[in-house]
Amino acid sequence: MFVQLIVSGLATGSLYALLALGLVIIYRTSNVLNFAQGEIAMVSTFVAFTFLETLHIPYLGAFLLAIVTSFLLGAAIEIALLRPARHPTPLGLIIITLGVQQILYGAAGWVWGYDTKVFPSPLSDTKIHRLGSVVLSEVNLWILTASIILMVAFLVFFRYTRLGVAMRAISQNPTTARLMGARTPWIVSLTWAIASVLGAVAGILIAPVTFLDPNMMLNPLLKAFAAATLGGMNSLAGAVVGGGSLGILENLVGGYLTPELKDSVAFFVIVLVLCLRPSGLMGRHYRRRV
Amino acid sequence: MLRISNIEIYYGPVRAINGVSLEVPEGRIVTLLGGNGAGKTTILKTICGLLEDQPDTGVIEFMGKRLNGLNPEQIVRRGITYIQEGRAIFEELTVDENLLMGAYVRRDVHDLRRDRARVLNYFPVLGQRLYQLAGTLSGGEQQMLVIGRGLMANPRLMLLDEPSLGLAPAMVKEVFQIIKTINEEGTTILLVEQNAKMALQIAHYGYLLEAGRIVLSDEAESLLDNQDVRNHYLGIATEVAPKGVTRHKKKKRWR
Ligand SMILES: Nc1ncnc2c1ncn2[C@@H]1O[C@H](COP(=O)(O)OP(=O)(O)O)[C@@H](O)[C@H]1O
Ligand SMILES: [Mg+2]
Repeated sequence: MFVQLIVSGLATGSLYALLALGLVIIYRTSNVLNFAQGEIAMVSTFVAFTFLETLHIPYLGAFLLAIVTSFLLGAAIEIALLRPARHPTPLGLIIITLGVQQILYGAAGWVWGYDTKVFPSPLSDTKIHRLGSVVLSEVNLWILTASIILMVAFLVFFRYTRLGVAMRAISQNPTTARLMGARTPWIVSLTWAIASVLGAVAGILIAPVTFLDPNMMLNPLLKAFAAATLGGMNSLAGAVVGGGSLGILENLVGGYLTPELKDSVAFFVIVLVLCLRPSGLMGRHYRRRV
Repeated sequence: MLRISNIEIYYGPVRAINGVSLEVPEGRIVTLLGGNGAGKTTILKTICGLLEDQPDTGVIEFMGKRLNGLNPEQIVRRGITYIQEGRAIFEELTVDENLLMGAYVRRDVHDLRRDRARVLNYFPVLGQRLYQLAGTLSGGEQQMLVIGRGLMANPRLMLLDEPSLGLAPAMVKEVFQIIKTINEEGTTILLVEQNAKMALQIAHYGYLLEAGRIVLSDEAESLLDNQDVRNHYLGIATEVAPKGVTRHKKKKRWR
């Protein structure tokens, strides 16, 4: 029972982690909390739905096209709406992302309607796989596999590639990074694109479980914010750890106590952690020497 | 190599630089001296394109081509590296990653390896700390890191902004020795300093900047012997208050 709860909690948690990673890289490079992250994922999922249902493109093709769409959507939002804000205040930036969130939400409702749809998926929620004593539904197995692969690829990219290192450099000191030759504005747009892809993958993976409607990402995004905060908001590994532990924690609460308390207890623990360790589990802060 | 002709630089309505001309010939160390707020950093920032729409008037030429209107990303690709004051390291990157960022514009893997070896040879301490976060280095080590990182771009011209600031005297000596070596191995240097004595000892030529104007320029050796410079910049005579002469001149213009 215990191991079972942990494994299926991990599957949910890995989705939080994907969204949280997107939040963290945007926060680090643009210093903005991207409230539109969930809605970008939701729209991308609807796009995948349209490709599948209306245009009858096979699942893999629809998936890839939706990923490309989310990439472009993320970059377009940054270029069209955030870049023109030249000397923005942090609050102004948050309002912009909230605005984007509302626009996407309304647009999705207008285009696809507010009724709940079934997301057609080749993965079954009822077919199960046995791993020793643990059972996993096919959907959860795929969620776990896909998000682990994606997260590893992502962390390798950030750690070892020139562009990945430049993204981290920009987040610490954009002026100096420019002086080294990094084309900062484009790299920032690219982080928005990558963050959107992470969200889109999470959305498409979760859709067969939660069904499809414009509200589908509200709760996951809230959890992702909590996961990112838990992990320290500026730490990539922290977002992964934060997402995983949040998923496990709420599943344990749901399993041993009552499902009603799932959300409350999860957030109670986060508040507790933040009181004891304000910079999160893995947050690191260097004070600049002047 | 670098020729600045009669530039004026404004911060909004305020003029910070007022008709400055200077020249850095290839292969030399030229030093730009001046007290706090004289405008030294402003000039360097303008050369490397950090101040948008500046210089307001005047021309900056590098290797015979105008730099006016280019942005920093373009200028660094022309072979100019600006090493900012105050050790602008990437604290949360490792020493190794900082060096990698320095070489951001380069594609020549082979020469890059050679230059990296050269940097680690100048600064062996960086080699011992390659995988440590740069934020954990001491002040002196951080200064070495920013110079080493600048060298990773293999620049033709290096703009150095107050490398001695906040370093212990022994460390200052070491850093200046390395600057001299870097120049002897072929990199042209524009060295901005308040520490006139140290700077003039390694420089070939010097300019004195006060309140946005060049007030004196000469061979470094002559400047070291110059009575005004000895009084005001080298702290040798004490009977005149620092800045006395210039303050006097300035007031005359106002009244
Ligand atoms: N960002 C800025 N906005 C307005 N004025 C500035 C700015 N930066 C510098 N200044 C002013 O320009 C003058 C020259 O500054 P600076 O170039 O930093 O001097 P230095 O490097 O010689 O100490 C100073 O009077 C300073 O107050
Ligand atoms: Mg300065």
